[in-house]
Amino acid sequence: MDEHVKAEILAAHADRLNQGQDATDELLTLFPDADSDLSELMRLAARVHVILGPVYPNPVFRLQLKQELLDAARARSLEAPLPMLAAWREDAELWVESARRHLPEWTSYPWSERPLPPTLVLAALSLTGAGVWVYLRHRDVQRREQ
Amino acid sequence: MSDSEEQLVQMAKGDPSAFGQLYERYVDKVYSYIFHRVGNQDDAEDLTSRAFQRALVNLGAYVDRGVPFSAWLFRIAHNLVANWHRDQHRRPLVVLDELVPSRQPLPENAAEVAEEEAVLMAAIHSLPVDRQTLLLFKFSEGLSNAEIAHRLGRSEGAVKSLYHRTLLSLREELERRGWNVEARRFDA
Repeated sequence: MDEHVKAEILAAHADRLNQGQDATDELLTLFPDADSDLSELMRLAARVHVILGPVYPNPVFRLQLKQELLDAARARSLEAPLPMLAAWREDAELWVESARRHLPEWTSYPWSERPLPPTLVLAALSLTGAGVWVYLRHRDVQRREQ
Repeated sequence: MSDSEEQLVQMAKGDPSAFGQLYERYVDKVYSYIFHRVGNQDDAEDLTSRAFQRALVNLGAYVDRGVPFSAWLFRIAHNLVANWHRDQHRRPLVVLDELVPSRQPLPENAAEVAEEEAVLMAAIHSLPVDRQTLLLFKFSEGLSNAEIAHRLGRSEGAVKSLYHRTLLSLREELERRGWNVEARRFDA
């Protein structure tokens, strides 16, 4: 039997398994030239279907996680971070998570656990800009005096 | 991605309750996927939690460019599981009692059934990651071939062909472990 046809039959068989029907015998009747190889694979698929069935999370865990996420989402919507900072924050969080995994002595500080408020970031950026401007002005004045 | 889901994802970027709806829609599937990949409840809960936290943090940057939200979310889960396996430096442990919580075999053949399931699960875990993922998408999530193709970025025909090859590899692995697939029992 052609390999392509076998793949099609097995795919149809898997779809039927997901609908709660084991169509092994039906498909073998439809394709009488199917070899024992195909019937073995269909029986194996039926076993895999059973063992890989959905597993559901503990309801308490499910509820707690939802609450934690909703709290975090509310906190984030209040902070409303600047879009340009989102990527930097993501990189920093990935770095911190990696450091936590690989450095057993890693210590967390409260200020490192949550991002700075956008107002503080804007103030810091403004002060930095002002500092640079003052420095450049001062340098130009000095050059002119020389 | 359906219109309603696309709208929900857009809303979730600024509305916590919309993110809650997305969570409700996907938490069971993500948990089930992770559980089958790591094999124990504690790590599955930890990784599920981290997957959704990461999704929340990065949702603002998510743009639907042909990749549905579900595929994006499962990509996060997949990467976390990959990191977990790398950190473990070992094969995942398979905890049978947790893997098959809903089925209660008869006392006289319980040990035999448990042993068969352990071997089958170990054989599945020995497959390449893309083949494990295919089986989980197909049987744990019940996705159609078209949906799997979309998630894996392959054609539907390629998915069917991969499924065929996966079953062949799995049978070979089981036979190597002394399991007679046709008779559904150990010969060893």
